[in-house]
Formats: sequence, C-alpha cells, structure tokens
Amino acid sequence: MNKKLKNALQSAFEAPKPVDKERFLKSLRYPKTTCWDFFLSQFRYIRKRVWVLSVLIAFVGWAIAFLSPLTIDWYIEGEKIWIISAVLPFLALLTATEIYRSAFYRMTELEICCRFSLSQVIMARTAILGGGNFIVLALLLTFIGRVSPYSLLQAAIYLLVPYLITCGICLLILSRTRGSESLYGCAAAACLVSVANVIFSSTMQLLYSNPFLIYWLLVFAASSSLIGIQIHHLLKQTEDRTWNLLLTE
Amino acid sequence: MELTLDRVTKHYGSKIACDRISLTLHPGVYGLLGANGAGKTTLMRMMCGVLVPTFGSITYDGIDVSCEDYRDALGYLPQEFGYYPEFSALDFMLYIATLKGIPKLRAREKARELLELVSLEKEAKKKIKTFSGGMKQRLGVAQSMLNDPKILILDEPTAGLDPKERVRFRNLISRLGADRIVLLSTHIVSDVEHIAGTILVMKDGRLIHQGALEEIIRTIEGRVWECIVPQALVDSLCERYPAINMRQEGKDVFLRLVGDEKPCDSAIAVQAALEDLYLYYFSEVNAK
Ligand SMILES: Nc1ncnc2c1ncn2[C@@H]1O[C@H](COP(=O)(O)OP(=O)(O)OP(=O)(O)O)[C@@H](O)[C@H]1O
Ligand SMILES: [Mg+2]
Repeated sequence: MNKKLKNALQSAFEAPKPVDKERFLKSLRYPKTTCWDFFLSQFRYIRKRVWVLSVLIAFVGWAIAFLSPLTIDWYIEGEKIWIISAVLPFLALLTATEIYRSAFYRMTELEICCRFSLSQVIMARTAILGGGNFIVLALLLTFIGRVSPYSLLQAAIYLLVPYLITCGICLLILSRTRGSESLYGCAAAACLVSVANVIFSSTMQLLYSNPFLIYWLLVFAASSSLIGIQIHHLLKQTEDRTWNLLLTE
Repeated sequence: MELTLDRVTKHYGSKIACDRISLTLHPGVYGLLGANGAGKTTLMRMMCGVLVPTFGSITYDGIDVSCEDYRDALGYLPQEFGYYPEFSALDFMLYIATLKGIPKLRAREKARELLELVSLEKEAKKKIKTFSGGMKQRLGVAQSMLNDPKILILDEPTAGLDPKERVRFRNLISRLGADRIVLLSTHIVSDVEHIAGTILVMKDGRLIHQGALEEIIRTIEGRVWECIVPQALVDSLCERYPAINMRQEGKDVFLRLVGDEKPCDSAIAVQAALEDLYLYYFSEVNAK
C-alpha cells in the first residue's frame, strides 16, 4: 500500500530540479584514507622489475636445490650457495635504488608537501621492499637448507652476506651522491660483490669452512649495522627536511 | 582562515635568501614579484614545509607548517618538478592523490575533472615523457588542486603557457581566490596585474612592497616619463634613468623612463603601471 502510494505520488508530481547539486556534492567532506590504505596503495608503485627479479631468484634457488644433481654432476660442497648468493647483490641493487627513486626523478619536492609526506612514502617503500626481499630470502633458505651440508644458520650467513654488503654500499653511495653517477656506482658495487663472491668461493673452498665462520659473522654484523644506519639517516633527513643533497640541484 | 608568517628567515651559509619576512594572508590572490634570485622560491618552499626556516614561524589558523593538517590544506606547484618515467598524466594524478590521502573513486573523478580544467583530457592516457613544457606545467597546476586546497602556492605557474592557456589560467585563479589563499610568483607582470588583489614585491630576500595594485603604483606615480629623442641622446639618458621601454621611431627613439625629475624637455609625464614599478626596482641603474 505504502509503496503504491509512493509510486502514485511520484508519477503525479514532478520532482523539483536540484539546485546547485554540483556545488553541494563538491563541498561535501569525504572520508580521508587511513595510513593503512596509503600503505597498501604504494604496492602499485613499486616497479614490476623488482617483483620479476624476486620471483626469478626464488625460481633459480629452487632449480639449483632440486634439479641440479640430476643435470650437473660437478657438485662441490657450498657450490649451490655461492651461485645463489652471487645473484642476490642485484636484488639488493634494485631494492636500494627503488627506495631512492623520488630523488632520482626529482619528485621529492612534490612528495614532501603532501599529506602523507616523503618520509612516510620512503617508510612504506622500505617496508614493502624489505618484506618482499625477506620472503625471497626465506624461500631460498628453505630450499638450500634441504640440500646443503651446512647448518641452517651457516647457510643463512653465507647467503646473506653478499646481499647485505651490496645493500649497505648502495645505500651509502645513494645518500652521498645524486643523479646518474650514483646509479653507476651502485651497479658497479653490485657487480663487484657478485664477482668477488664467485671468485672467492670457487677458488677458496676454505672460506666456507668452520674456522672462517667468525669472520663471516663479523662482516654480517658490520653490513647489517651499516644498512640500519643508512636507513635511519635517510628517514632523519626527510623528517628534519634537510634536503641539502636531494632537493637542490 | 589566515596564514601567518612571523619573521621568517632563511640562511644558506652566509647568504641570506629570505630576511625576516612577516606577512598575514587572507583568502584572495597574492602575486609575488621579484627578480631572479630574489628569494621567491625559497619563501614558497618554506611555506610548503619543504625547507625549514632558519628562524621564524609559519602557521595556518594556529597549525604549524610541519603538521599533517597543514599539509592536508596545502596545494603546491614547485618551480621545477620531475615524474616517474613510466607515468601517464592520469597515473601521475592518481599517484599524487594517494599521497594526499584521497580515496580511490574520488581520486579518479577529481583527476578527470582537473585534467579537463587544464585541457589535458585528451592526453590523460599519454606518457608525460611525450608532453611539451607547457603541458607539463598544466599538469603540475592540476595536481596541486587535487585535494581542494585552502592554501594554494604556485611557483611560476604561467612559465611556458601559451596565450590562450594563460588567459584560461588567469580566470581559473581569480575564481579560486574567492574562498582560499592563493599565492603565485611570476616574472610576467601582466599575469598578476589584474587578478592579484595584493601584490608583494621581493628584492634581495626582503619584502619591499605589499599592497593593492593602486597603492603600490602610487610610489612612482608622476615619475614615469615618455619622450622621443634623437639617437645621440639615448645612451646618456639610459645611463641616468631606468628605461622601461625603448623602440625606434623613424630616425628618433621612443623612450619610457622612470625618474624623479623631468629627464628632458620634450618628456611628458604619463600614468604609471605595475611593470614600470617592477622595472624601476630591478633595473641596473637603480641598483648602482
Ligand atoms: N640550495 C641553495 N644553496 C645556496 N644558495 C641557494 C640555494 N637555493 C637558493 N639559493 C640562493 O638563494 C637566493 C634566492 O633563491 P631563490 O631560488 O629563492 O630565488 P627566486 O626568487 O626563486 O629566483 P628565480 O626567479 O630565478 O626563480 C639566490 O641568491 C640563490 O643563489
Ligand atoms: Mg624561483
């Protein structure tokens, strides 16, 4: 009944034309996005090549761990680890340069004055990339752990050290220089670490023996703290807005 | 709605780029004029929280410039900006919208609307790489308005715009100035002459003039002269008085000069314009 009445009324009288509807809609306050929404939205803006390389590395890790004994018979202890750990510096290179993208492409000034400021953008990117890398590394470790003769901890350290060194060096270079030369510097560092890793590990099997573990641990600790310092420095720079390097040409 | 600058100062080493600038801005259009290196960009960067003042404070209705709420009310077009190379115009707008905290649906709608406003709707899907300088500039103007800012700061927004777009932009700005604070810097006097309610003139980091167009022009009223003189006289006159306009007329030369006294017998006093004032302050003769 009620509905019928409503319909009858609607057909009997014409609704008045809305006055100033556009302006009213525009002035309406809309709910702003939350920090979490912002974080999620940043996934889209990580370059595809980071994910492609991550998947590729995980796949190579899987292939080396489970397929190589069938195809290659020059199997030496530790070999599997250094093949993978030689690829990881390139993942570090991509990650570090991705964090500094705003400065490369001169987006800093635009990003600083937005509601979610540059420091939040960098934090979001670092968290996303760190998470992605963590997953790749964890996958690699489980693959390697299944087939390597070393303990899990040892394997983790052998695997991570080249990655961490590259990450640390790249962040260091990026925080000191700007423009394309820093990119070349980072690429060179990544190649160097990778090649050194290959040379050392194939010629000096001794390096992977237990007595040397302490040195590995030392390097591990040093490069981790270097990364920590660099990230801290970067965020501090954005928060104090002392953009001496990143802003002015 | 009030934006207050209190003795804002910026030092670069021993160089003072902005020197104790105090200002109160209300809704309306403000035009910031100044020669190269006068400190316009430095001042605007501080007002946008990009640079921290060496000394002094900037607040909007009591909210400090470093707060999120301040940035939420702010739109800024930097003098120069870059973009991620893979971005199309629409991607760029949507990316900035995520940083400004605008929900997805609303962002799309708003981005389309603004791109239309700066007549880039046909280029929305094109890569920014393929844009001309003026198109990029218009995109910059569009992104600054994504969050309907209450404070709109534009650093040389008309640089590189063609005359048609310039007129459109001028109309847009006067409309926007009705209910928000708009501050724009420029070298092109005619861009602000008719739309800015208040004109600010900066020189060597200091604010030397501030007021409505008529008030500002009054300072040189009656000191602008026009004359037609023979070629031989031109050099000596130009050495003594800032020349605002000069053109060949047959054998003689037409000159427009600023000076306290009549520069030559044939000179007649004419009505002053903003451009006269600008050139008067920034001409080399005056600097000596
Ligand atoms: N990062 C910096 N380091 C040192 N000095 C600087 C820096 N940035 C600007 N300056 C100096 O501060 C002064 C003001 O510069 P600013 O960029 O604000 O000028 P401007 O009025 O915007 O000029 P233009 O019209 O050319 O854009 C200039 O003398 C410049 O040399
Ligand atoms: Mg400038």
